[in-house]
Order: sequence, then C-alpha cells, then structure tokens
Amino acid sequence: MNRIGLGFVPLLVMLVVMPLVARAVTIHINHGYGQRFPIAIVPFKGEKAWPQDLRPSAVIIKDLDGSGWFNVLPSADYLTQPHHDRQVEGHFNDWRLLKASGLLIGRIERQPGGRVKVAFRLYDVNLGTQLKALQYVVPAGQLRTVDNAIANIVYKHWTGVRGVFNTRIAFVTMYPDGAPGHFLYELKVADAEGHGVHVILRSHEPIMSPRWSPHGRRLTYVSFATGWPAVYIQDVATGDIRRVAAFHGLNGAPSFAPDGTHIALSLSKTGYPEIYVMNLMTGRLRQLTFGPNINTEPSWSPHGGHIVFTSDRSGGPQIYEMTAYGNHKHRLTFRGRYNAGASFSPNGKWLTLVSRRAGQYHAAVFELADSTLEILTATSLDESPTFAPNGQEILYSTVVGGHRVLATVSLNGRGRRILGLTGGDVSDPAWSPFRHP
Amino acid sequence: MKMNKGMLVVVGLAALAGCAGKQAVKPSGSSATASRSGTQASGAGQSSSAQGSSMASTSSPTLSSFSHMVHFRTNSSAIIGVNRQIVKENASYLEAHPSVRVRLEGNTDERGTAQYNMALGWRRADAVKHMLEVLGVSGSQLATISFGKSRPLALGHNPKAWAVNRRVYFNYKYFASK
Repeated sequence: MNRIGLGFVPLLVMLVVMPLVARAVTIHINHGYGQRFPIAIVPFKGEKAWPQDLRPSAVIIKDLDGSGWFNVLPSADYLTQPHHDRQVEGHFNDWRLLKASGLLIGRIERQPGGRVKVAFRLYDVNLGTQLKALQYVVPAGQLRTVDNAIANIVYKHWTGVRGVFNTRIAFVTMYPDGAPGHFLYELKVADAEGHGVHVILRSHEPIMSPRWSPHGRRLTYVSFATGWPAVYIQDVATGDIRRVAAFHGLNGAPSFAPDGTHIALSLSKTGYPEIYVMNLMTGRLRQLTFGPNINTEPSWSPHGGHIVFTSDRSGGPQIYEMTAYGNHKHRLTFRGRYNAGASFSPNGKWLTLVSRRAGQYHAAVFELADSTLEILTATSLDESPTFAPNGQEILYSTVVGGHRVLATVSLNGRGRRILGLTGGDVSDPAWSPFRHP
Repeated sequence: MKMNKGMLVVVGLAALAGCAGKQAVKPSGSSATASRSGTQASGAGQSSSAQGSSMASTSSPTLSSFSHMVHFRTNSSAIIGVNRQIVKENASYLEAHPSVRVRLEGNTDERGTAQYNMALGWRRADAVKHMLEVLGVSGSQLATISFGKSRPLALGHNPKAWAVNRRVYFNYKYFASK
C-alpha cells in the first residue's frame, strides 16, 4: 500500500496542480494531501417529505464526501439550523467555531403540477460573504439532477474543476443463468455515483464494451444477440437500436470519434483483427492497420486527430498510436509485457490502460509527454479503466471479495471507492462525457 | 492407480464448473484415457446435449466418445499435449461425417481487457480450425467465433478456474439446432 502511495506522488502533483494553479486553492494544496475543505451542509427545509436518496442535503453530502475533496461536518454539531439568509448574516462566527470554510443552506417546496422548487445559498464562512444563491423549479422526477447540480457548484467553487455529479456511467452486469457458461447479460446506465440504475438492453448472449457518443446520448457496444458478434448503436433515451457492423468474424471494440460522425472498430473480415474507421452516414469503411496480428481497442484523441490501439505485433499486447488516417504508427508502451485497452484523458495528455506487473493486472496511467507509466491500484484483476469527464478520477472494474465490482480511484490520491451496485458481476464501465459543452 | 487419479480430476473439474451430477459424461469407448475423460468432464458443462444428439452416427466413433474441448496456456493459442489428440479425434469424426458442421468457440480467462481477450479467443478458435484443415477436414464444415472472457465455465477468480476457461469448445449442437 505504502509502495503504491509513493509511486503515486509525482503524477498526482501534476494532475492536481494543473487545473488549480490559478485558483486560491493552491494554498490548500500546499497544506499537503489528505486535507479536505471543511464544509457545513444544513439539512434543507422541507426535505424530510422526500425519500432519503432524493433529499438535497443527503445527495450533496454523498457527492462531496465521495469526491475526496471535502470534509462535510456532521449536522449534529451545528449551533443552528438556518434556512434563510437572515439566519446566517451576522452569525458567521458560529460557523467559524466549527472551522467550516463553506456553508450551504436551502429549502425545498412542492409546486402545483407535480413540480418542485429547490433554493439554496452558498457562503464563504471565512470571508463572511454569500457566494451563490439560486432557485430551481423542475418536475419532481428531476430532483436528483438538481441535487447533483448544487453539488457541482460547491465542488467547482472550492476545487476549480467542473464536477461530474450529473454525468453518467454505462456498464455490463452478468448473472449466472442455468448451465455453466450461460449467463444473463444486462447493459445498464446509472448516474456517476451508481444511483438511478436502469437496464437499457438485456440478453442471454454476451454484451460488451459500451462506449458513449460525444454528447452522451448514444452508446455503441458489441452484442451477440443474433448468436454472432455485431456492433450496435443505441439511443439511450429512446431505446432505438441500429446495427452498424456484422461482418464475417470479429466485430469488436467500437469507439465514437469526438465529432460523432465516425466510429473506429476492429474487424477480422480479412483474416486478422484489423482497425477500421466507419463513416456512420455512408457505412463506408477505411482500413487503418494491415498485418497478420491482433489490432484492436482503438480509441480517439479528444480532438480526433489520433487513434491509440492495442497490437501484439511485437509479440505481446502493447499500445500504439497512429493518425486517424492510419499514418505514423508508433509504439507507445515499452514497460511490462501486457499493456492494453488504452483510452485518452479529456485533456489528451494521458492514457488510462490495463498494465500487467508481476502477473497482476492493474489500472494504470501513461503520460504521453514523457512516456511514464504509473500503476494506480493494488488490486490484481482490473479491466476497462475509463476517465471521468473532468479527468480527476478513473473508473474501472475489478474483483473484490470474489465479485466483480466497479471502483474509482481519484488521481489526486484522495479516494478509492467501490460503487454500491449489488447483484451479479459488474464489468466494462464507460464514463460519459459532459452532457452540455 | 492411473484411473483413480483420473477420476479425481473428473470430480474436481466437474465441481469447479458447477456441473457435478448432470454432466457426468462417460466415454463410451473403454480406451479413453484418464486425462481425456478429465477434459471431457469440464467440457460437458457447455455441451448440455452433445451426447444423444440427433447426429450421433451408428458408425464408430460417436460424438460422445471423444472430448469437445481443448485448453490453452495463458495468452497462448498453441495446441499442445493431449489437446492435439482431441483435435485429431474431432477431425476423424468430421471427416467421417462430411455433412456435420461444428462451431469452434474460442474463450479466454478473465485476466486482461475484454476486447483483447476477444481477439485472443478468436486466435484460439482459428488455431483449432487451421489444425483441423491440415488434418483434412473441409473448411465448409467449420465456423469460428470468439466469446472472449464473457462466458466463463468456472466462476472462480483463481488459476484453476482460469485454466478451465482458456478453451475452444467444439459446438456440434449449434448448427444441428438451426
């Protein structure tokens, strides 16, 4: 544990300092790791009428605690439980005593027509000023989205980084079903914390490797629903499904181009798994790799100019890069004999991938500028690492207590979490992009 | 002595695959070796009705007299040891029954990425197909597919389970039921 912690440090400093450098938070970084922003979140007035998993203060506390950046002070310690601005103004000393640096208050009320009004105020306790005051009126079904939006505002103010609490994850759950080797597979979508799970595809044949479209409206994945592997694109909201590749042999590893007009994928129709780019309007294919070996797992750079992929042309799986037209192929990873499944960080400076060390398969980060490869986990059966859209965390699948689960590791070294998804073995996670640019 | 050992293997693998009882396939030929019956037991979990299939021919060998499963080393598609004999027996059967088609289903253990394992499973199925063709089987009798790591026979997260799961399964049922 210690060893891994140490290996972490140089990488973390770079990851953390970069986005924060122009912010007041830099001061905080100098205090060292582990310190979190102490913040008071008063239970919202009227929220007791709502189920626990929808109450604003409960959702916001869970979001902020889980991020690793905040220490939410227990509400039992609060001297008062204010809901109005006038109960806060002139009383900042109450909160300074608690050593809170932030204070969030709010209220929730039902409105006619099944709507709900949520209002909040956010304060800087040290300065004794109000930072933000907003009010939302939304259909009750969107309450959780509002809760997460407030958490995003708090998160952004103190960290300087856009929050991901309203982004989504896709993953596959498999349940043993009948004879050995037979399973029920479900492709699911949930919010980033693993709540609000819904099944968007269910099959007794394998489903694998979902990847999001640029604005998070569609997923591309591999399904064996016909008995043979094929690549599909599904609209998450409407459920519309389109089969885009069902060639002879392998149809695998689809990945959307950043502009959403093309996918890269791996097909073995010529005899070997090769990487192609398909124009989704015309269906036309362009072959990018040529050779008698495995070429798979293509993933686009954020600007679409490059594609990284896995190839065993050197004997074992390693990561290579080429232009989106298949030019200038060169090998990126040299450390270790198994590096596979790479995808870019949102800023294009890092890859996350699976790397084997001493027989253990770990989620890892590769820095493109200096070709360093850092192992991020102490677990041994990691797969499908995927960056959060703000680049602060990596979500992956691993085995804990005999079951396959989803876990996150934050790149600021502040947290590892296991998502509370119960039942079955959970794999193939993919984190959505931000929904609105 | 040797047979006893073999029986232990059969029981062990059957338990791993969670198919004890139901899938105790017995080789009909008394010449079956201990290790062959061991492999067959692990394979039978997937071939729920390989024996007694409508294709079972009156002439020897019958479908149930040889294993429908070959196994591989980690990250390898090389067919070695007893697995070569198993491929040969399947080849003899396919040559004797030119109307029979088989789907060669490549699988991997759970280690590594889903899509690299898809390619590795494909390579294993392709290696078996190639060996069958070299032995004289017509390519028109053979289809290949890879399931990667998505269909483990043994559910453990340990070397024993991984060894069971690194396999190509000769699925004679797939086309027979179409």
